[in-house]
Amino acid sequence: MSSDILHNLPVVALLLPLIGFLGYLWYGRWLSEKQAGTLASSWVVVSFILSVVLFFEVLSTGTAVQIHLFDWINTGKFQVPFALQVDQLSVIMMLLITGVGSLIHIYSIGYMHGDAGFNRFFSYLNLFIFFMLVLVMANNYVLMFAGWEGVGLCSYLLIGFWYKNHDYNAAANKAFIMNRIGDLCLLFGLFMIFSQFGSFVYADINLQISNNVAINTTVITGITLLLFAGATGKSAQLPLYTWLPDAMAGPTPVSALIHAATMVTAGIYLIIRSNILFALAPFTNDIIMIVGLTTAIFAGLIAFKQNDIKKVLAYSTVSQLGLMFFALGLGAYGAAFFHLLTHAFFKALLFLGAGSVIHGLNGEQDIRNMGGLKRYMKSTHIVFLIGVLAIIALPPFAGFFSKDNILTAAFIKSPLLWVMALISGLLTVFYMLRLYFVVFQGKERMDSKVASHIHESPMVMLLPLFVLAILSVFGGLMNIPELFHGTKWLENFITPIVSMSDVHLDHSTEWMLLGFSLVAILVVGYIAYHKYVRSSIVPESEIQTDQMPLGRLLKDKFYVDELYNAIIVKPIFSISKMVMSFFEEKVIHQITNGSGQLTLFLSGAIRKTQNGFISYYLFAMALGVLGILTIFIILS
Amino acid sequence: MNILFVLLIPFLSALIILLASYKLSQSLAILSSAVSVVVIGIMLALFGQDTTAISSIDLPWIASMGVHFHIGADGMSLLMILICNVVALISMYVSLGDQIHNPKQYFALILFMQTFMNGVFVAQDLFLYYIFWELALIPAYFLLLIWGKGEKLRPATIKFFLFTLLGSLLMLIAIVWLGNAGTTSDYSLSAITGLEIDAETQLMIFGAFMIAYGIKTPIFPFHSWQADTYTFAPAPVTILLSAVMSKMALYSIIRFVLPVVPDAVAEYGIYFMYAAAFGVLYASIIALTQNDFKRMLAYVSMAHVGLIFAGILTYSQAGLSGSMVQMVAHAINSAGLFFIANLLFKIKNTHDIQAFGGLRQYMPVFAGLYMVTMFGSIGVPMTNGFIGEFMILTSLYQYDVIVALLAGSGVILGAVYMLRSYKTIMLGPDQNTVQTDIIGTDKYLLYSIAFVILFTGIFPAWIGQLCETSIQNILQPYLQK
Repeated sequence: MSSDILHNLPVVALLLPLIGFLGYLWYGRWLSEKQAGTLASSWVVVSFILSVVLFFEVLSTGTAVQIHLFDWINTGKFQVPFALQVDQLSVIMMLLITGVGSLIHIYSIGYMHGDAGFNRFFSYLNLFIFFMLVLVMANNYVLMFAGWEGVGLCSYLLIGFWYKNHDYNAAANKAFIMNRIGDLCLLFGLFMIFSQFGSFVYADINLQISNNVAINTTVITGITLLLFAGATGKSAQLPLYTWLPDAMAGPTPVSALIHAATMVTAGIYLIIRSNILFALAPFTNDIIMIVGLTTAIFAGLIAFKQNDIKKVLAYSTVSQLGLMFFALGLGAYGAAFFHLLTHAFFKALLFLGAGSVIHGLNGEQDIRNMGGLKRYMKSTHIVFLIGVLAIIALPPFAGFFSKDNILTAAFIKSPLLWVMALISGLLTVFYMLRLYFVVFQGKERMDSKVASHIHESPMVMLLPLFVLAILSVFGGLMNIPELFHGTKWLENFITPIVSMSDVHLDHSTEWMLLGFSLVAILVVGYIAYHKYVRSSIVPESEIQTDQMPLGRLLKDKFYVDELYNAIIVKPIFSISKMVMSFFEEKVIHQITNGSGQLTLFLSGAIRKTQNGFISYYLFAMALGVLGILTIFIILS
Repeated sequence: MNILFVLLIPFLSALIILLASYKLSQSLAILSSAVSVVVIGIMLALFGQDTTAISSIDLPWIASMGVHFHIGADGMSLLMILICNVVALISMYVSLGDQIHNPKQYFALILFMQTFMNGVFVAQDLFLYYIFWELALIPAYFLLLIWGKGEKLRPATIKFFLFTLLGSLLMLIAIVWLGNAGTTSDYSLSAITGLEIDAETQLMIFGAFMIAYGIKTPIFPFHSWQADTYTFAPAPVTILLSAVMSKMALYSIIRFVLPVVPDAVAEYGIYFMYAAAFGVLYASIIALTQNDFKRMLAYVSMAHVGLIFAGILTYSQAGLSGSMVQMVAHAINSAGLFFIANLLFKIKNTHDIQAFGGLRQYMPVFAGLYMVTMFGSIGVPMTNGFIGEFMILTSLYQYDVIVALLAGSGVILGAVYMLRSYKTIMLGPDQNTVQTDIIGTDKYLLYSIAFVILFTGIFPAWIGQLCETSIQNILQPYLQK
């Protein structure tokens, strides 16, 4: 392909969704639902096709496409180019974003049907895709940060999409502000990077490190810790995760696209992108590992007792992201990236499946009011089940391969870590099966009025579900490990960006671990089956257990929100009031009222000049100025 | 093209307005401001091709004192004039819908203020500079006193006047000293920047200047005049005060403090940086719980100018370029926000945000444009508030981590107070207060502001380039040491 076209492709792929957004501002009002939905989806589909072309280009040449658009800022040493880079890592991310993005756009045509803000919804989705592409296509940290904040902005817009609801607006604000806390850390990480390397461009930094320019490891540890702190905000890790469950206030396709498949993985992307820095910071890696694993287990536990179908999936996302960070902390970048991709498939599938359920039940989200849906929604049931099997890592579904990768990496580091990771996986098995059984199996608990109206979703919603189901089944193929005579294609593909250690377990150990975890999954699965299908316990009847301290603690999410409210939010607002009423009004004003006394004295004198004939006064002033000017000029 | 035009156009227009019928005052004022903006646009274009295209004037004036009427402009001056005149034009437009009593005097005063503020930005002679600096205060004083609204208007106005005036007196002493420090009495900027001043005297001069500028900007703890003044002043005047008058002080630090007393800046600048950066945190915290929208914006403005103030004192290229970018951004955003406050006031006759709610449903255009302005103020990338803030914070970080942390607190708190007020005013359930969306000039003005916010957010590089040479010159005395 000629280099000219190649040069323009990424730009076009990037700009199409933006054009969609701007187009909406221009003529959105006059478009019908059908037109707006089709148009918005088309931009992203075309962008996906271009990404595929780019993918094959990168695959065949093995080199990155670099495009310098213009200088964002250039003064002296402070250079920030507005430049794109399409390499192995970003092209896969582009495929994911535009691919899953296209599916979710199409799905939304059905899901959002009849909503008053239909067209606006699609414009926000388009804008989101644009910023997400900026995030992964940037060739430097500042432009990456622009995408990073941009997706946060779209997330804010979409969580608060139904803006008449106070709670939704509060959730939107919370998401934006919590992300900002992470972003401030990230910004300071960038300041440190600039102080150390004098550049924000990935390539420059990597070059300096590979040239062994004297580097202070303390500084690198600082940088990486700050970058990771930024990632905990965007990717909803402890301690900044509480915005994500609240973010479920947004329409369900948003939860699938932004709060499961793409945006929340930006933190993982950031660390993989900066892997050369992280490789030099063992301390940070340990922290990441601990935070990731803790989050995985912590969120998994909370998911046990949630009764809102979307909340369960939200905590599951937090937990799975924790697992990815755990892998990053282990240095298993390939495994983390692999899990990022498979998770995007099956979590998007699960969310969209949940959306289909909510749609069919006319807005019902409480799983206690569901049950036996397999009889009403056959297609949704099957794809949801596939999603569940994929997330609980049953072979040969996609989640199995990616989780197995992570577990193996954990075992190499320490068997204890393997056990912990396995436990987090088993938590997933339990709460996901609980969700599945309570929603689709067992007795019907709907109102008779609701039950009579249950309907399967339209084709436009089911089609994307089918595609995602296929990906959730076969997604593992992209990185089949040696154990199954694969070549780990994905890991090899991103090797130019991510250098990975090549430690292997011997095959007998691997088989043993596999067998063990498989048995554990089946046992836990059976327990869930027994509890929720055989004994058909409904979460409602779990009230007794909720009286137990642990049950309550889980149900109330460890009271983290309440804790933050008590120790951060409320004090800050009290301080604000106190500063105003005491410091500002008493101290500062008292000091200046030294001049206040003077004021009273002088104001009497000045008052006399205000005789109302301001015109004359003005003229006098103007003439005075002119007069002084001329007199002095003449005199001199 | 001669730089004198930027003074003559508004000044003569003011005189014409005073003579013409009061029915014409507003049209004439807008016409005059539009002409000013066009003229500056031409100047910028000429300057871009040839940096000597803007001719200066240097006439002997008060011979006995060595004072010259010396005006001229480099890239930085032109940028400031651009800000000043664009904001003046915005301010005239904002007055459009209001029923203003005594329009003749009102618009004449605004034009006088515009003239003198332009004068501050072009003066090349310190004595002349001082005259413009003080003259600019007089129209502001009358505008406030006569057209302002508020219970404590009069004491607040007098406080504003005296406070800023007294601050400047110290500066006058310093200027007179500087003018007579050489062998002959000479107030020209070039002569004064060439002076060799001993460390102790530098400190005195530095202190005298910085207190004046600290009050005018204002930074913590010199800000007590600001909130009342901004709240009580009519919206167009608040816009001029926050968007331009605060920049007079910031510009002056770059022009008259950094190159004149570089040693003192290096030695003692840190204390003012701490004060300004602490002010960012302080003002942001106060803004969190303000229910008076205009008063909240006053504190927001204080937080933003505090950041620029600190950035300038880093005396570094990134800090100075970032400050220039941020000054442009703050001028536009602050004008936009106070304009929005005024539009809201017209709906409910109050600035209390709790009185509003659910407006977005009826006013989608207003809500959308308000949101763009808000994100500009928060400093989201690709809006104008980001790059400048980013450059300033980077340079602050390299200078002193604590200062950067204090100033960086605005990144989080800025989102909190802006989103809180937006949510209260625009979002939420329908309040059965059917409103028509903004129309006509209001709409186009807010569209233009939003456009500028996005445009300068994506393409801010020209600001740095325009000021590159000026900044190099400012940095010269520092780099020599």
